[in-house]
Amino acid sequence: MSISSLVKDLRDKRISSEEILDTYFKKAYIENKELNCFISISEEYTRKKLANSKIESELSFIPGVIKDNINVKGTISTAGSKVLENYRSPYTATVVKNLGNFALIGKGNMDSFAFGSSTENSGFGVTKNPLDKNKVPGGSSGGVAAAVASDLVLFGIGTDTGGSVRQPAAFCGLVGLKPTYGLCSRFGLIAMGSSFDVPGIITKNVTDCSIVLNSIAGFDSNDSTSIKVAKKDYTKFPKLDNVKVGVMKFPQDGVSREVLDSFDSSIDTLKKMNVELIDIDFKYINYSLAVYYILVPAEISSNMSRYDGIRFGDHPKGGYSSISDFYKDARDKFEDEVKRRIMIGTYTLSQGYFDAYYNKATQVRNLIKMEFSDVFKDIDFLISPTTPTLPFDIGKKINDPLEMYLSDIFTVTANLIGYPAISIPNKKFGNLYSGLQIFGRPFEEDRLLSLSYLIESKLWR
Amino acid sequence: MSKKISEEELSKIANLSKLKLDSSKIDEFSQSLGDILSYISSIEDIDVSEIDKFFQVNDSSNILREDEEKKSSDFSLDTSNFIDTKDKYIKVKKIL
Repeated sequence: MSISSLVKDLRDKRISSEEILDTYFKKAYIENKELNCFISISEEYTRKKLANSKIESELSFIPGVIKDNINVKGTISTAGSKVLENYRSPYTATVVKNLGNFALIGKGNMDSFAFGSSTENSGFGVTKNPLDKNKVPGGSSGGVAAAVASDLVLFGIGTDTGGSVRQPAAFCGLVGLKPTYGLCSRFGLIAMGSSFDVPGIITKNVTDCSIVLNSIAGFDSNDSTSIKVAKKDYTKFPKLDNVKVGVMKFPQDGVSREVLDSFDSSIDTLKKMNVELIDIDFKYINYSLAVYYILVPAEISSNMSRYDGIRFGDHPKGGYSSISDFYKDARDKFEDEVKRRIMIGTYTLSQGYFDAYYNKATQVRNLIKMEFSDVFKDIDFLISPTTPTLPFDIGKKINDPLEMYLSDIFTVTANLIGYPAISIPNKKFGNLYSGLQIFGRPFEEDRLLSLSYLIESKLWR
Repeated sequence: MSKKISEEELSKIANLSKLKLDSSKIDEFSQSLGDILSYISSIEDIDVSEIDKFFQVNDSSNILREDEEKKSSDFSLDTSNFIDTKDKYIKVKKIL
């Protein structure tokens, strides 16, 4: 079932809005026991919200999942962490408001505070990959991807700081879009790395993705990094003429045979589409992941300071001899990966290391952005694999954080420079897919979706 | 290739981070922090002498609004997340 087909059924009265809610909530309760893709199921909230509601838009009554680090007033938003186990959202995120009267089925499981690539760091248990239940669904938006892949919802909104929408989409055989930084409002997202975070979309196909983007994109005065751009209809895929696609050269160690094979076959597909392909050998892109793991933990350590036991966080009982002991108690429920990233960030920002790490990484971030804008003078799009491997087994990388970080090697660059990037399912291996990642120019999501749609219809599925 | 960071260094970072360090986790954190710090040090050799130390994702600056009177955040905002409140204030335990 896709968004457009359910919309048609609803408008032709082959299904009523009540039937949609009954069917999808029933499925959600049953499947969630096995998959653990929702931290909470939002039946009470949604039935109340949609009572007396009418069809207003393409997404009216369409079942969706919102990642649990996105505020929806009337629900608990845990961000996947025990620290926020009982945190009631005080307001609704702009992107969720923009979705109108869709049917919120549940809040998606995730690595706590979105720190992770497998959903194994969740304070509420791991989510299973519906395509193979021994495998991880990817992360950090793993619950969102698993819910879409198992047909419990038709679309999901996640957040993407270094690949957290594209990587789980690839691992679950779905389409995942990270829009340009500034196109969709961050207001109401629980912050991770503020200069990297964007809300993103997970759907089953490119058309559904463009329907959802139509509703969430737009300027928001509540987000000072939001950008005013002319409104576009993303469902009208513009015609692409004389397209030049860059093919990213990358070191092949650590990239699995299946991924290389599948990347080659997508190159063949593009050749048959009469697209001009240009090999691109970046000078600085191999440093992207190192730069990312300096700057993001630095922003994390500062963003996480709000969990002080007063405004947010656990409420200690009192009787402390110093404010420092009070804070340490209030922050003790943080999951290990949260503690690790706060400590890395604190280290690289501390006196004596600030220049060598933070300042240097910021300069390299500038270099990478300059290199990209140079390269994009000659090409319209750039392709790479989305992930270096197919989905891995649950438990395989959880004890080796650096190994886990390396699974973001292809995705972090788009967040460093703010460019839009999409992952679409590429070749199938058994039940699993590898993903093809396509970068576009900033604020040219219409063209990016148009090329994705063309490739989607040509690729072996 | 990578080496663990020392226990003193780890407890110094934990203290700066306002985090308690569970003794059973010291070994694991010194190893993983050591691994990560040595990985991110790979940027050391890049020449950045001509490159700006400031970064803007979208090159926007001075996002200001008109200086008009505007209601600030509404204090009827959900205070149920706080353990104890009085009027507009959040009550916390005495520390001393």
